[in-house]
Amino acid sequence: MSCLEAVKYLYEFMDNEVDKSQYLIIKRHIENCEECRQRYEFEKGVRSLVKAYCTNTTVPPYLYNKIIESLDSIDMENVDQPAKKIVHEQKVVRKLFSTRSYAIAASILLSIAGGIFYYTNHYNDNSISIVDNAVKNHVVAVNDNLVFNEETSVVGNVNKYIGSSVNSKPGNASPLLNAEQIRVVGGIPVRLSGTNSPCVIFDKGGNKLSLQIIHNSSFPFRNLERAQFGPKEFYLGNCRGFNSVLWEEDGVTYCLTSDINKNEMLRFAATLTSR
Amino acid sequence: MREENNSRKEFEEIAMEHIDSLYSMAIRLVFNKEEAEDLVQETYLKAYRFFNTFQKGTNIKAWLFKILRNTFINKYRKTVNLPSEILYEDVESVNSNLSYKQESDSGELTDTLESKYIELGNLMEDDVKQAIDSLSIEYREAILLSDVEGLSYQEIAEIANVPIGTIKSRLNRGRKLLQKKLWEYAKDRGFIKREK
Repeated sequence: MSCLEAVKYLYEFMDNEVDKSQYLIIKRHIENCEECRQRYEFEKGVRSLVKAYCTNTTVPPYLYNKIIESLDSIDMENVDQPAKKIVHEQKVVRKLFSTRSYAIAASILLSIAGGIFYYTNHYNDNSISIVDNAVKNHVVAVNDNLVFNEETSVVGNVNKYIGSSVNSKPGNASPLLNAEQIRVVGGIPVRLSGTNSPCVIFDKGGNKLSLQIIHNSSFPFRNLERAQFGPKEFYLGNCRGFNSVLWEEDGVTYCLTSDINKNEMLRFAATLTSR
Repeated sequence: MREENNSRKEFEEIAMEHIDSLYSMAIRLVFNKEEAEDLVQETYLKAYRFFNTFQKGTNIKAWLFKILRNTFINKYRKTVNLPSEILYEDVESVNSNLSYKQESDSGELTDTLESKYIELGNLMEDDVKQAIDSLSIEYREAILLSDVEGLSYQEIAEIANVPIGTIKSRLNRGRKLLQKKLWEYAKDRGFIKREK
């Protein structure tokens, strides 16, 4: 191995990113070549400096406690949530069949998953799990950060999605909200309540709102809080700390999700409805 | 209810221990203790809310860093328009053709590596931090995740949402820039010492 090659792979070698056979070749070269050994030592020195000076920060203890406290408040939010119940059922089943063959377990799980899917689509009292689903879509679309999945990047042509389905010109905004501040920033196709929907993202002064559509289904509104805004009726949901505003128009249910204040969302939702 | 407590317990067990790492990274991103605290708190709340989407068996530290990064970007894109993306592209295209030989020769004409190594000992903590902070955010993040947190190229690529090759070149370029900076500081320290 030449010095040039050794130098070329030095970082990868030090980062443990070369395969084993190559590792040994490079290691031998470094041991036997004075110049490369010095280079290696120098790199090592720099790294240990960086590491030593960047790991000696510890969080103030009150921050740890503050975080634990806010986890408590999330736990409170989540009590009595139907969405949780479904997760629970699935886990119990997995435990029951864990000693049997995987094939049986898998087929049973599949049928149960199918059952849950059916339940999601056809029962009327699961508005909260739909909102939860919308929240998950929202976070995937806005943050792209909770699943390691290359397909969920927020690129895409929004006009393709928003086109005819919503009033995309929030021109007659209510006086409380400056609609000019809002722009469409992206969108991805998602599934909501068993149907395909665009997830269109709006940017309002840095806050992201996403709009999803539940096609042609009569939505089970009765578990949600009702809110009247102007002439229009809206329904409010809250899951995992996100607010959702839902409304119906021409047999289509729209769901707007964000982590901003409910009233602001209502105002924005009102600008999206046609008059 | 029982289910909930279990996942809460698991979260505290496997996620909370990385709080110092996240905090150190947050400080190097926002340069300010209070904002770093907010960033870490927000990261944990998001992570907890979506803990059921975490893939068991994968590296939770990498997952937390990804959430931290995206929280940072979402938060600071509000105030700062496009961090240093354009600047970074320029640097990349101008310098990508420089071979190792050319780069190192320019630095090594007068100083041997060994003398450089010795001079590094003069560096103070603030010099090192300042040198890291002077790097553009892409380099800074790649170097910290690799050198300090010991994450793999694959994990860093997933956090930054770019291909592995990009991470490799960011590390290459970033480490060289960092060394140049450190070397400048070390020389200054050396001169000050000699003058005394």
